[in-house]
Amino acid sequence: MKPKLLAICVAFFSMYYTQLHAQGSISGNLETTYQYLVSDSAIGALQPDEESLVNSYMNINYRNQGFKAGVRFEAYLPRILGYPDRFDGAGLGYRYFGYENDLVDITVGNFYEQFGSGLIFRAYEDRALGFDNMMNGFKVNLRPYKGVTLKTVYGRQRFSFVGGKNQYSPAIVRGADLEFNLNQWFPKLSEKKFRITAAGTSGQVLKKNTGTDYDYSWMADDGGVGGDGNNYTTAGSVTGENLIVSRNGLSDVTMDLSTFALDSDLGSYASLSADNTERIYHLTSLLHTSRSSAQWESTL
Amino acid sequence: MKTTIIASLTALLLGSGLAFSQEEDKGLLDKKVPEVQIKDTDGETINTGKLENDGKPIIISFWATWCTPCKKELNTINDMYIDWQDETGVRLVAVSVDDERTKNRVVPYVDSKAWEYQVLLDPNGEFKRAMGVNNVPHTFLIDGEGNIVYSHNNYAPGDEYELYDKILELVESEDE
Repeated sequence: MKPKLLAICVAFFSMYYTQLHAQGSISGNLETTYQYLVSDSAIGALQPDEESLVNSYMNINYRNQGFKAGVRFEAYLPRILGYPDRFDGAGLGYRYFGYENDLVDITVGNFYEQFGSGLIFRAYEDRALGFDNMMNGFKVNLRPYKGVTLKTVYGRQRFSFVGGKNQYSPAIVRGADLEFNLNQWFPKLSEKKFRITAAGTSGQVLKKNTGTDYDYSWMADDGGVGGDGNNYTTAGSVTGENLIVSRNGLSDVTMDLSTFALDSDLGSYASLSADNTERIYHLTSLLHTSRSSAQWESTL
Repeated sequence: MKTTIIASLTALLLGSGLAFSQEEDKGLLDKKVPEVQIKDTDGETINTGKLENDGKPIIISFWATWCTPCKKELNTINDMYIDWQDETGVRLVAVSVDDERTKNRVVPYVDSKAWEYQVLLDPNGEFKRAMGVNNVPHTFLIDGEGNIVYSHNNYAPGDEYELYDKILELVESEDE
């Protein structure tokens, strides 16, 4: 390349680079929990060989207008007391890149997402409980019109972190969720203190049938419960969510997990579906789920 | 000879470019509120990167109905909110990280305390993760241009005065 041209190119690039440089931003954080174990003769406890336990997490995120990317390093050396036994080692636990604006949100790599109340699909992290079933794949969310949200996910879920590496489930999870917030279309509803959303989801868990081994990894949905109700001052709320689960695309094994709860004060909620969620764990091979829900809440 | 001249010129350009960016702002360390789509209590989707207050400061406070220090902090600020707004024009956005189990308690609680804040719901932690929050309470102060200028984790009585001092600093520097 001619030297003059090269110089011009580099000069142009360095000026442009400054603009780019000034707009992006890096942020991060570090969280460490350290426990030192001691002997206690009163209860006959002996100090183990490792003497101390540590959990450490470091996040680094980069944002440049709509573009986003980040990593998280995790260390369990060894894991602290009370943490589930599927965490071990130190290494890269989370990495992603993507683009987000008002219309579209694309993420490639590891991500978290929730469909509706989360009963059908929820990939989330609850670090204090040692729970993290992040997805490894991609997600595409669209918001084409006010009140309309379309979410799609594809990938495999993490169920443990062993030897400093994420262990992903053999099953592939894919799904789409379309939600309409009717309050955006009919503002009079908000004035009358009603909140109505209508949604439908179709999701599948695909797994090769390899015998009688059950794999609970893809539906470790501890937090998701359908059907909450609450007393808002003097009135109540009614939530209904209807789920249909079928196996092998056939309707011979179908579960209708309709949850309907009308609840009263003090914020208690009815976990009608907790029982039924257990039954989902025992299905293998092709699993379909779909949901439709309408939520009506009223305050007086 | 020619290549060394060109190399040193471009190095100078790059160096001056970096220096220029450092004069204007901290470059890569300048943090803006990320754009994340979360819902408010009416079900309307809000873009967090577009939260604005007419060039005046914004406080973003992450809280949860099960977090007692968070509620203490926001109730304490609520007592002084009218004065704070009169003096500085500041606005507070309270982002609840309650998940589905406790999300329904948010509106009754906010109504019972008569908070004037804008309340957003983040049940799957999207905005919480993007802001690098590990636990609640975590409070951020945003200046008129959307830059994060102050952040504080945990709450002990008296922390709201430190926050208010930072708000006053911002408002005074913007006046100059």
